[in-house]
Amino acid sequence: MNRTRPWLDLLLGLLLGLSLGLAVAWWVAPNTHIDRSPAALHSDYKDEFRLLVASTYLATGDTGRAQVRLSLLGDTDIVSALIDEALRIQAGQVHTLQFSQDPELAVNALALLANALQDYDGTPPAAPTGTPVTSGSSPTPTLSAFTLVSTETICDPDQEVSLGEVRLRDRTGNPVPGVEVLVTWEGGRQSIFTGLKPEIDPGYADFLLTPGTEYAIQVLPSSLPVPDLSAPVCTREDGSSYSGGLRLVFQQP
Amino acid sequence: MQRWKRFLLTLVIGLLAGLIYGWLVSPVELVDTTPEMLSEDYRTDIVLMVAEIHAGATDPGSSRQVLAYFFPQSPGITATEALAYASAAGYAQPDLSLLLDLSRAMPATDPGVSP
Repeated sequence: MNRTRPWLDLLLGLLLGLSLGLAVAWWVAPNTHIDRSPAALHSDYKDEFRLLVASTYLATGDTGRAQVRLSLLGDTDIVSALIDEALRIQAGQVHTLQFSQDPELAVNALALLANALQDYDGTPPAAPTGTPVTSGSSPTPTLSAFTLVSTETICDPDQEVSLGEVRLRDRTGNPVPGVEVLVTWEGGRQSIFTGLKPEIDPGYADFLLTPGTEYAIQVLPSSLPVPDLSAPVCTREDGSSYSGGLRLVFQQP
Repeated sequence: MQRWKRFLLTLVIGLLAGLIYGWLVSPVELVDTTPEMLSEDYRTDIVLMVAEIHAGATDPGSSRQVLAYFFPQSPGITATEALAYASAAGYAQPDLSLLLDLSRAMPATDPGVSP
């Protein structure tokens, strides 16, 4: 027993010292010189950080800087993260400080930035860093204009509401998320954004069609408006009529 | 006595090993933290974003509100500290100008707190 005891003392001393060292390093005096990036932020702060980046992008048009800043959050896909946040704001799951008066502006800002990042190829921005653009002006458009390539009437008697479906495609036919589409009618207007229902199609957006109302649809920022759109009248097997939907496909040339 | 010396020696070795492991090999990772815990360059970048928005806006109240959300101290102190860090770190002149404008527009003390 006495022969083994010196080794037991050494082992105890080592373990005690190790425990003390770890306690000091992890709790008492943690290393404050490590990189503490925004990736460590709580999710609420991350949401506000993304909005701050999007607002800054609206003010400066600097896509490159926005991309660098968003990459600090450690999101796997920064564009998807923007669209996801826009979707959560639209669903009322996120209450933002910066756009508390008008959450639609927050959705708008996030969607515009997502759109810009989709097409961003690393080219320096038009405005030099730190040169502000007047508040309220739009960032430099990065999308080519979309043109309407097909209009389809949807007659589904099981569908409870009439929907105007918009699908955006790039020149190779891939869906384009994060684009604002302006829907106007007599006495009203509504902005919708593609990419907020990715389970249907990343380039999909929809709006409610009121029977008898004529709509015009414009893919922003630079496409021409498509006027004279209205809910089609469909007929059931028993001869009764109901309002159907519209499916509009826009594509970049 | 010899035994105590050996014990103390192993204690110190263990302590050093624990410190090296806890500080360098596997340092504390921050999760779910607040902006004030971020490294100073990241904190300054948040203030710079507010300054970039502030330059094109007319209402300093919103800039003050955003700064107050991210950082608990008064917006004036936050902006001044960011400007000091940016100057020392050699930020570009346009960015320094933006931070200077912001710090001038922010009150030095929290208007909601009486002195």
